[in-house]
Amino acid sequence: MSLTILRLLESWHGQLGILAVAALVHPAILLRRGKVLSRGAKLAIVLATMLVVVAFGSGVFIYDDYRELVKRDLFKASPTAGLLFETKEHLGYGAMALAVGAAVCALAAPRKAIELRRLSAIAFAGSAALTLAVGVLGNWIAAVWSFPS
Amino acid sequence: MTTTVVHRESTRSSALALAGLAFALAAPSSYLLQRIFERLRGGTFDPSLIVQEPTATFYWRFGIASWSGGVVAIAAFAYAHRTTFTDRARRLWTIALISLPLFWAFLTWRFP
Repeated sequence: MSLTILRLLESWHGQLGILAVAALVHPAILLRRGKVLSRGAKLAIVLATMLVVVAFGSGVFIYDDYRELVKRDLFKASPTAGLLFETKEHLGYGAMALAVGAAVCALAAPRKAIELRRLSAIAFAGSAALTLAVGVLGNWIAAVWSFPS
Repeated sequence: MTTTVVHRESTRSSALALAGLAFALAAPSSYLLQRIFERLRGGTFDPSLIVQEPTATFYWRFGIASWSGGVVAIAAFAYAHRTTFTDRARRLWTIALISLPLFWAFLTWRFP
């Protein structure tokens, strides 16, 4: 893959991550009272979850090239930033797994299961917090070192 | 007859919802266990001496974590079919769901 495409994908990955933060806060708010979900609310949950999955997936897609072309130089430029990249990849997986589990819970919960929807709201809030941390770290790491021009 | 069918549907939906929560907790926990194992096996290191990794362990780590999360979710689904969702269970789920992201963020920050 050409470096221009990789830089473009890296940029999209970051933008999708920031969008995912905003999108994940929405279901956390929608579900916090445990009310029965409308069709629009269900759609919002599906879209927010898809967004975080796509953001994670785009990172996975460029990971191999990143490992070959960037990671070693990133550690050389700043060991702290290198270690925070490791933190970022762990947090990214945690955020995605929480969002997927929360979405299944929210969508499957029967009408009377208020508590299950509230638990789902907590999981979405946790996912949003982790995604925010990933976004902040990702921006900083990209500012330290990125794909060569 | 209709009541029984609705009840069964409701139980199955609840069990599926709990299975989703089980995945949300089990997959990151499995990931964390693998990472702890890697850290213990590798020992301490100087990050400035890093060389290019020969394999992408991240793919394996999240793949195995997702698989084991799925297995736990299936087990939770089967278990939840036979039990009711009590207040105590709800409290435990709440504590687990709040503490996991905090614990996760702290550990991955201190031990990347």
